[in-house]
Amino acid sequence: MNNFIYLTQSLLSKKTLFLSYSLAKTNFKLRNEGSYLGILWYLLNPLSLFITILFVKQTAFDHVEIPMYPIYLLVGLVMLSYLNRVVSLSTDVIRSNSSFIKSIHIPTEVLVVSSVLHVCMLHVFEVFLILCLALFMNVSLFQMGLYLLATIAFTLFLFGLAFIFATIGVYVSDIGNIWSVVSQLIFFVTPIFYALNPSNSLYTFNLYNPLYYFVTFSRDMLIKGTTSAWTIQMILMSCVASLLIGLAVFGRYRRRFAEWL
Amino acid sequence: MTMTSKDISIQLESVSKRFNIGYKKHENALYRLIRFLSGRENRKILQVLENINISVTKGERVGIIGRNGSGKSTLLRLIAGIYEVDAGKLETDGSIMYISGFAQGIKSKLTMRENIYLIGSIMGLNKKDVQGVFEDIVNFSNLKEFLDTKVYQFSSGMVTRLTFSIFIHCINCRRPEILLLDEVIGAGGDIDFTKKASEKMKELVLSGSTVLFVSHGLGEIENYCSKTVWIEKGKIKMLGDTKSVIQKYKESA
Repeated sequence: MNNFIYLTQSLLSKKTLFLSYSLAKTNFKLRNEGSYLGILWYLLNPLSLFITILFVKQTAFDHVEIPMYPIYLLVGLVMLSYLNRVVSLSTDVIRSNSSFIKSIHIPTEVLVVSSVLHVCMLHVFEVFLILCLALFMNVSLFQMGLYLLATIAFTLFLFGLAFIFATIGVYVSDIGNIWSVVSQLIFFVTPIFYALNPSNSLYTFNLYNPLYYFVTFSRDMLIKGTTSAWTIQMILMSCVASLLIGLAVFGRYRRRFAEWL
Repeated sequence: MTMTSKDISIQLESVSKRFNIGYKKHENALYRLIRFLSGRENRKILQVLENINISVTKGERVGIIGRNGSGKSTLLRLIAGIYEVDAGKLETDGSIMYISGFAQGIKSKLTMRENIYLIGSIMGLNKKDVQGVFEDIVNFSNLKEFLDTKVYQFSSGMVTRLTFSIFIHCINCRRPEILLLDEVIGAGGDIDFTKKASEKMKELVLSGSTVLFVSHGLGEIENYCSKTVWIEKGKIKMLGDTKSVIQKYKESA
């Protein structure tokens, strides 16, 4: 419990936030070599999938009508890529900064926060892409605002997740390989590019899938401007659970990281 | 962070530290699963430090000597809070800064200006603090005309000058009450810079903080430290005034 409180205090301190931000900014710069052209590479993956699936759906399985399908699809793809990047960066972050941890005693939570912030900065460009598409399809500004709120909720959820994966990454080195398989499964099981109705057996599975609620929430906000009370409840629960578990696990193990590196 | 006495800065009472080195490092999940199912576990415990008793008063400078692998760095890391103590009592009073080597953290694809801000913030300075020491760092390193050059275009001597300048000024700015230095003496660079650097180093060490030195440079320890600890195989072999400890240490070689 003490660990938890101490970690939370540290996370909310100005110093931690400043350091995390400057590290994230540096890594962002390094990744893109100072030019914004680097962003194009980042957008290439969701964009190419988007175009392919849009094309395949029209030619091969165009029997279910989903309203505003391009937005529906792009929101799903972008959120999955956001999740993937947060996980892959945070699993690696402690290990790859081991020299810092052992030689200057940098607080490890800073590294996790900075990795999420780094992905968050990249995600801004994807959000921008979605908003452009939404503008093109005559979505109201109010709904776009609601969608941004949904993105913030998802980011909070990812913060918790990042702390969990950062801890696992210290002890298990090949979690990246496992995750690449899991992420493929998630892509097919979560309704990213198709719609689910409650009679489908996959639907029951998705009731336990937090990503399902976040994707539904974001889509509902952007396309309809309203959502079910059940979805909001599940969103709140997922955020709280992920943050509590993440901080508890990380808080408990972080003092022992240095010995494992 | 409780204090036993007002003058004590670092207090270690029968402190021990073990490392579990039996596991394979960077062990993967598949291996763990198999090992878990087979119930076989190969453990090996390495006792790095055993029954260490040291007490350092405020403003005292203590040298730590010993052969490679004797546990010197582990001792400093315990005090810095990087490792956790297994057994015994460790108490410190005041802000702590642990520095090991000066080569950490320089990103060669960033410019010198960006590097100064980056390392400054890693060392715990806020933006205003960095701005305050920025001028001093640039002047001390004598690299003013390269401020916006990326560091990979620097010669290695220039990089050493830059890192030393950043670190020394950041430490100076934070003024920690306890300074733990792990093999950091001797800056490299040309003859002028070495002279300037060792003067700056001296100024920092003599600035009134409690200092613990780990070094193989016995001359430096003789110059700065009144007291020296000689660690061998995780135990204190000798603790006393620097001259006699170093003499015995030299005789043992």
